[in-house]
Amino acid sequence: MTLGPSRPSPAEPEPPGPELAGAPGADGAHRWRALRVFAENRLALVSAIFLIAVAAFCYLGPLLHHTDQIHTNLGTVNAPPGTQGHLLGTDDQGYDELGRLMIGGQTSLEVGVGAALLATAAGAVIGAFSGFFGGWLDGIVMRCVDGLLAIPTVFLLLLLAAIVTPTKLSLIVIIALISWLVTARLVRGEALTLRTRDFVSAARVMGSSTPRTVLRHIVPNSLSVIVVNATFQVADAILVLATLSFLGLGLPAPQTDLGGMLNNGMTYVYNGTWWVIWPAGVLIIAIVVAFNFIGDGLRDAFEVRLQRR
Amino acid sequence: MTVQPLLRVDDLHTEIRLRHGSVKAVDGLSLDILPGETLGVVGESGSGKTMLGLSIMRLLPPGGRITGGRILLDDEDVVGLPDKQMRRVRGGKIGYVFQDPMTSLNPTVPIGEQIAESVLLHQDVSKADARIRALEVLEQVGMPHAGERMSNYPHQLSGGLRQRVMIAVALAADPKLLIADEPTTALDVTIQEQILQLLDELRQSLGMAILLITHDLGVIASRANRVAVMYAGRVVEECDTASVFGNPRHPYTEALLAALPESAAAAHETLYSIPGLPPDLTDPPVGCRFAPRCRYATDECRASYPELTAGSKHRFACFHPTGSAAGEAMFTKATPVPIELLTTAPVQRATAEATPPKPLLQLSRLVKDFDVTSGALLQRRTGKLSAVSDVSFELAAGSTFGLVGESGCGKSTIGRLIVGLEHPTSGTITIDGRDTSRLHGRTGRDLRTMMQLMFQDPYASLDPRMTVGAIVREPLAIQRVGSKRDQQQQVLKLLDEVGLPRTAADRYPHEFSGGQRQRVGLARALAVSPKLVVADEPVSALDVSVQAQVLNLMVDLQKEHGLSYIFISHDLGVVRHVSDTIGVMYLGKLVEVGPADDVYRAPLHPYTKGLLDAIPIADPSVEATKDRLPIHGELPSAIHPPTGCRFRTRCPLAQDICADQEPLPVSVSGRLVACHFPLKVTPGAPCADAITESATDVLGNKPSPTTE
Repeated sequence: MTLGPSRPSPAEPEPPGPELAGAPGADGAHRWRALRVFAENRLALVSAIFLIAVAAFCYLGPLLHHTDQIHTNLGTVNAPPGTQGHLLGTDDQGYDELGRLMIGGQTSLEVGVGAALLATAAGAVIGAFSGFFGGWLDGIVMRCVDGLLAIPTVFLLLLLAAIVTPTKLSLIVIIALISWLVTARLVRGEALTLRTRDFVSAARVMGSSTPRTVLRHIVPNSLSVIVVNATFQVADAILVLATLSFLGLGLPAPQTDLGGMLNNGMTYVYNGTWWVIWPAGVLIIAIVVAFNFIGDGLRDAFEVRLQRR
Repeated sequence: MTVQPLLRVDDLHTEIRLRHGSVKAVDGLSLDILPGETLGVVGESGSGKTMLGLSIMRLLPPGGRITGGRILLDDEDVVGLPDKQMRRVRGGKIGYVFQDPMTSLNPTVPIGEQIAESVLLHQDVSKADARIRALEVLEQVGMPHAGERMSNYPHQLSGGLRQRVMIAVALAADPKLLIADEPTTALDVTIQEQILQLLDELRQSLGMAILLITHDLGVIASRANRVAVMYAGRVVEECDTASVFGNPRHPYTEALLAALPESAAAAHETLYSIPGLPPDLTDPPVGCRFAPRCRYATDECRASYPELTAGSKHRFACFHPTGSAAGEAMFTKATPVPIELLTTAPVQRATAEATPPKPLLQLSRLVKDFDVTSGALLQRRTGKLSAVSDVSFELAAGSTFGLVGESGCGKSTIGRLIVGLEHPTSGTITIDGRDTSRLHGRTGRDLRTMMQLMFQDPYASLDPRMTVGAIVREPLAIQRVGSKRDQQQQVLKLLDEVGLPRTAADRYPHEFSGGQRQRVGLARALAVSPKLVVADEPVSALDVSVQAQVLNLMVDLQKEHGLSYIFISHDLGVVRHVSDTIGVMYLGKLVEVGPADDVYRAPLHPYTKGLLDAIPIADPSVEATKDRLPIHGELPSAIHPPTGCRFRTRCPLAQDICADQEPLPVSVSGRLVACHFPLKVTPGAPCADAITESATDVLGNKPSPTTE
């Protein structure tokens, strides 16, 4: 992700700006400034630190906290926290809850980020070309998007998940298939306004081909929209995955994700075994909220060009 | 006895807080406005003139506040007034007219209600009475069919009429002072003339004072009684209009006047341009703020700030005023060496006169219609907009063709047609003997490199996410000229040529000022060594001093590379300065074509004459003696252009024949003019005579070219 330079609003013809002052490292200075604006949003900064901590917990945690997450241990089922070195107790299969949280978190993060990247890339390219071409192509693409958006997401997911055996990769593709629509729409809107801008006309006068114009001018200038949207997509994808798993269409055991853990725990909701529900549930909420805050922070960092003066 | 001023601004300081630091937008400014006078405040963008107006209204943008000084309105300090009383002053005692009438009117409320609202806020009247008052004001500002227009929405009105509504809103509560901030900048010259005339008449009939804020010296010269010149948040010179223009004392005023294209001794001559840029107001210099750009500056100027001379009528803030012995002595010492041009004498021009060379570019019977569609899905064609209608002209290699006209006349469309951004409906464009309508594949690419476009808006035409180096290199990369290393070398060479430092290559466009960006745009256009550059309003977004720099550069590069320009502008002064030939367009038609000076000095077409008269000249003596041929009304719709001559609906000389027959371009003393009653070329003779004579002459069918 690049935090590009900001530009002042075109309405102001001659800012009393410094004339070529501070020539070297100007580019770095701008990235630095964007970063500082991002950091000024305390919630976003805390969220970013929190997510780094979660990632460390999920991926580095298993190295310190060795647990068997493959074989069930029916001897210690639903043990409360603290028993036999199980810090957060065990679940109904005897898996260590803390270790379970780590690998479940891995899955959720991987599928969430993977689906968001795929959906964003596809949506951005499709949206940019559709908006840039306009006319009948745009009409067809956008009517397809409208049509797909009109089908209830859960129904579409159930259908797809029933056809394909759930693996991490297939889940990424399935979730991406339904999430690119919103990105495509947003980027198309940007492309529609960008294509009338003078610098795009300038590229055409130079003889720039259409794919080149779209990839070199339209997409980079839509970057703020794309990046901000991508963070929201991650949060959404994690929720969708949780929903799928909760409905029993997630990954088969012994793999799991945070939603799957929640589904498992639901059976024991009245047993007083809070440790099989609360940690997973809280972690999902916290991750999703953190991604959303980061999206807000990034939006500020990009939009700073509007408040520069 | 001195007259009590209506408004006295005393040592005003206004700051705008930024994320880091603050801009001292107005810094120790003092002004008096007398009742019933027009005070013109002139300055470049960033000089703080708008902040002055907003400070008086206490309507500063977020982060802005008045940090010191007094603003006395009828001996009442408005700086400390509580908000409730301030609202009484705003609109009640002081009216404000903003620059853009589109954004300052509420699009969802009929204009009658918007004016009535202003009345209701300030006067204790019933709604019905407020509407009556609204209608009265609307008639006062010259709105045609005011009664019917009351229920119109802003988007149903043209720009000129909207500005009249804005003025009506400002006048509704009978203010004593009207602040007009760039009231005509968004308007065409013929409409500008009408609005300025209206403001003048209203001032006289209502006895109010006007604070006219503008960047346009011409507007000031024609309308203001007194002028205050602002630079970097301060007034540098203040006096009655005639003295400021006739005998400027501050070097900045003098330089501004010298930088106007009109003041060049002859066309194509290098204009005086003020070097550098205005200072950064977050950290203004200690001494005179103009010193770094001033040709008279000494160490004294850089060390301390000269105060405005007190007492005398002509106030100025300078240690070495122009005209003083000391100043003149400095001037001769510090005169900048005039830029040596690489080629001596205009070579191409000389040959052009001897034998007319083969034209580089030929437009023949060019027509462009845009479809007007309705319906979101099926896009039914409901009509056509005639943007360019039957335009033909030629351009010789190495010369400049200036295309002038009001907005919407189709001049930009012609530019876009030439470079291939639009395709003509009919007619041909040939460049170097080849038809550009077959711009495909390899030959298309070759042809493309011969024509480049320079844009109006230096902010929109450069991709904000690319470095300047990448921007200038882009055409080379697209055309695959040489290796990457060659291209980078070429970029540095181009940056040298347009006068930008080589370090610029690694920086982003937003780090540059408007003038510098326009240089980048020019470097990009020149990258592929084109023969023709279509410059679409290249300087209209720039300040006068910077405009001169860019114009000089364009003329220099033309001589160096033998370039041809199509120079599109609404500013006849600029066009005349750079062009060999001028074409005047009106509503898609080319109405007059001829050598630049001839067209400028003795226009043949009534529209050209009207356009020339409407342009305010920065010289009060010329303005006073102008023999005007005013153009009334507004540009008709290009969807339903008038029959016959398209100008007839606004032409003071129109006869029946103008509606029936379209005047064909005829040659009159070496110029082409499309008019049934062309004005007579009689140098020195009053125009009115010429008109009646030529009109009675030609009441037959064929327009007989009457010259001399």
